[in-house]
Amino acid sequence: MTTVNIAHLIGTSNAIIQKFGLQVLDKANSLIERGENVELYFGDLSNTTTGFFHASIGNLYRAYGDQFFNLVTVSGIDKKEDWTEKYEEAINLVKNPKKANEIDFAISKLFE
Amino acid sequence: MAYLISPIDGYSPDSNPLYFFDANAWIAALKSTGSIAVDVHERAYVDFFEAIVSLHNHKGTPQAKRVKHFPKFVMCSLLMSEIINAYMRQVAMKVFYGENHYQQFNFKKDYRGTADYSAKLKSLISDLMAFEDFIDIHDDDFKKIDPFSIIHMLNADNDFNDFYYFYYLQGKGIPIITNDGDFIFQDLPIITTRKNLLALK
Repeated sequence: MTTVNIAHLIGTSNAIIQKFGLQVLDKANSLIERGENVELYFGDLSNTTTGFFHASIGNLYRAYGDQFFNLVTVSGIDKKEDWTEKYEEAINLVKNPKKANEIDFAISKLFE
Repeated sequence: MAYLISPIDGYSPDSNPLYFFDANAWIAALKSTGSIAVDVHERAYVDFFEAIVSLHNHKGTPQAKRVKHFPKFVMCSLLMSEIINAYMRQVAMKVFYGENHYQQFNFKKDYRGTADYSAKLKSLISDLMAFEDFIDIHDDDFKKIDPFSIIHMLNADNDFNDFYYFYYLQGKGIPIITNDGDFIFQDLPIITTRKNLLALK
């Protein structure tokens, strides 16, 4: 088990953009490919967003399906009440791609 | 008088200390799930938004010397209201009831009382608050702008908020980032992907 301190990895306590989530995805992927389990530590973060969770947790769940729960654990996510909700939302949207598409379609309509 | 319109592709995010992202760009940056339904133009605004945030990671590093500005996002009450209303009405409510059915429902009478409304509003507020360190709060200058000088100019092409943002930003040197093809104003820096705006250069 390798612990990834997310704040140290992305270089800031503000995990607020998709780019930072993709950095977490890449790191976790490389560890899993080496046969390691990953613990993602959220405790040193001060802020997170929906977009960050989609890019990190959502993409990891998309890659590994229910095996994700064996390969990736999270800690420090209870620092703020709604972080767990965002974590669960990211996974639920991967389980329900129709809804994810509907959200992105509705947003894209704003740009017409 | 001149059009000061720049394409978003290739625009250096450290060129200015402040940027004014319109409500749609904010919503895309906060709420896009990254699915295949994300529009390519929309992606350009999200990428620029994220590039601004990423610049701040250079603070305190040797690269910081090469960064002209560590920009922040301008936020005023009208913009915050527009972000919340547009997201809740045109995204959250639409997804909840479905693209083909949502118009049969009333936002206040039907949607506001649902658990989905509460959850989506809470999530949006949390996402907005996460950007607190990157936001520059501005007063709306309502009295200074004189809204009565605006309302007589309203027409089918421009809404009140467009005029308001123009008069609010005029002379401040703060670029507006927008995909609104009707946002046609001179002497205001505009950053966009819109071809009709870029053709005005």
